[in-house]
Amino acid sequence: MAALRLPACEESLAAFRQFALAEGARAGLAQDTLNRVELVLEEALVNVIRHAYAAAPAGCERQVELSCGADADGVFRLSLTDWGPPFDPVGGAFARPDDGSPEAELEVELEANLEADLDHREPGGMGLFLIRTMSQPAYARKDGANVLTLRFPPQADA
Amino acid sequence: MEFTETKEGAFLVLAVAGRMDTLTAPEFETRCAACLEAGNKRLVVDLAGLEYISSAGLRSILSAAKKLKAAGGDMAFCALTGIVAEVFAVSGFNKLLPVLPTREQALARA
Repeated sequence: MAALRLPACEESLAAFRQFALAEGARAGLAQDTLNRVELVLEEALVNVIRHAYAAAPAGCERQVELSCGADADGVFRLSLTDWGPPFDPVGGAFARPDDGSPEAELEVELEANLEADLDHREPGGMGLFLIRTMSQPAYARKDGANVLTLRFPPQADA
Repeated sequence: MEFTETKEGAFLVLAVAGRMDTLTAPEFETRCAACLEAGNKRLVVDLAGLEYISSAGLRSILSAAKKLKAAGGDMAFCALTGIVAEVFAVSGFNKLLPVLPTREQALARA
């Protein structure tokens, strides 16, 4: 599985994108899947760049690593690793949508927002929503790092 | 991102080409503000040439549409393709804003 590690800043976005799209093309992904890979990668990277190191101690090396390629079952996968404090961007709400937790309430708000009109539509939350709509995300804390894995199984409707 | 403006009766058609991502999305909002300042309250945004959009693009569009509406104007979209059409659909923007298949249909609105 190929990997690229760069500083966690917006200047790194283009290089990560190029890297992931080249790996995706090499894995033989269809164009519509490549489009989703590109979108989910941007949303996940921006999340790391803006938030992962917000509470990190000074002197912390603010880097993010992307590895990608096909899993053993042939499904294309992106993995993003950062070394910020533990943070699970995709946990909670989707796994247990109706348990009354703050995450579940946030999810209900987001769903309501999708139906809102122009006067009531709030601008936030769309990045994580797109990640969950267009990939299968999973989070793990491993060896002091946050690892977000994003899988792209072939679309049933493609 | 590249912009092309064409006046069509009461409407200003703003054709957008390229990528509306984290780095470029603010350009759209700035351009729409300039259109409004020039007296164009009714915009038809033609996205036939837009190859890519992320949540940053959606935020920029939402903000621009709200400002136009507050000024008594409106913003419609046409000619979406590929991932742009998919992102509009899943994010609910198709219901939030007028989205038409063709520029002609967008201009035919009252």
